[in-house]
Amino acid sequence: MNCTGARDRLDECDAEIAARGWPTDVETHLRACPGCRAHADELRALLVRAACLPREAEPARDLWPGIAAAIAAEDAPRSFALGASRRRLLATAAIVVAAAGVALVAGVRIGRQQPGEVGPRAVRASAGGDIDEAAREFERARGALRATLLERRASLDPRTLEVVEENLRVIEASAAAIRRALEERPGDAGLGALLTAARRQEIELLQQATQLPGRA
Amino acid sequence: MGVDTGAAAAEATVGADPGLLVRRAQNGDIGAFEALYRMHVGRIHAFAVRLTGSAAAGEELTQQAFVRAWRRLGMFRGEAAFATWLHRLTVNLFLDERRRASSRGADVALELADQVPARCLPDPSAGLDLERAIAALPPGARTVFVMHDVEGWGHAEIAATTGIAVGTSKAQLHRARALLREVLSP
Repeated sequence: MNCTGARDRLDECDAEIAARGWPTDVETHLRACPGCRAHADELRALLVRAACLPREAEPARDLWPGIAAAIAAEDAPRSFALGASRRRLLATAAIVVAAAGVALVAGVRIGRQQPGEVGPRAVRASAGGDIDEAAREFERARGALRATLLERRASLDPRTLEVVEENLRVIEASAAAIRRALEERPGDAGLGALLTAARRQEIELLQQATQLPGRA
Repeated sequence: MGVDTGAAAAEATVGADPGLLVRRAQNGDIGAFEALYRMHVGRIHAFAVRLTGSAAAGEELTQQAFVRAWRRLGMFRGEAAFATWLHRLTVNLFLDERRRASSRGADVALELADQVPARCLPDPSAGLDLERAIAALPPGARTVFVMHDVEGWGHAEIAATTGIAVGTSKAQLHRARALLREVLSP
């Protein structure tokens, strides 16, 4: 083996080989060549030092606040591959939105055409005048579910909780708008049906949220 | 709702199975992701500082790497260790940034980057330590040296991750070692 061949072989070695000992044929050349021996010794020292460098070095400051801020600033759900629980919640949200649309159409038709034939008891109550009883029933259920959700809050996935709360805000805003409209047109059966639908959606969403599995 | 969930992260870290933390983070659990950050930041930061050759740039790269990791968590399939995935992501981010710099005329691609060193190598008599000598290497040589001789990657993996040829990786390593020997030899 000549010097070029020996140095090419040395180039292929890593720290483990350098620490263990050069390949036999290279070692044979090194015994006869002081120049390559010096080269090999320098290389060994370098490789061992490099391999011994600390693999961990904490940053001088905590980088997490900046990372968290960057994540929060992004529209993460759009680019994030959804996990099962979030998919369920977003599916629920989609159903809520779809149901709201159906209720809106149905409510308008009911209000215009058949105000007395709205079906469910609560809706009949809204249309028929026993609004206070339906409202009290709703508030009791809502209060109990909200309390349960509050108790479970710490154990739920924060992002899932965020989706739930966002959807609750949407439903509450819808319900508030319907109530304002009802104040102007108290006898409007369509609006009454819409309000009942919004309440039912809120109750269903709260029920689903309180039954979500906690974080492992 | 904020995402600074230190208490949740602390709770998530205690006795946590890393695989479970990854799955929880994939489901959007920011507390689990913070726990993963706490577990890996030391290694990623050390790696990033060596890749960039600068403490400030290393911090920036570390921060960006974890933000990108959060965005791409859904793509992590667990075929490699999470730490390996994070390292690859960090290298790719570093190279992306270099390519962007290249498009602005600030730098050139990895293969061409080392025709002229990024800065003059330090005076051997100054007795600089290995970290500083690595930081002073030209970027391409530094990248390959850190990946191969510090982190223990093979040339094939370096080539696959960085997009250079195996031969280029070997050449960069040869160059890096020669420059370092020159600087560090007494």
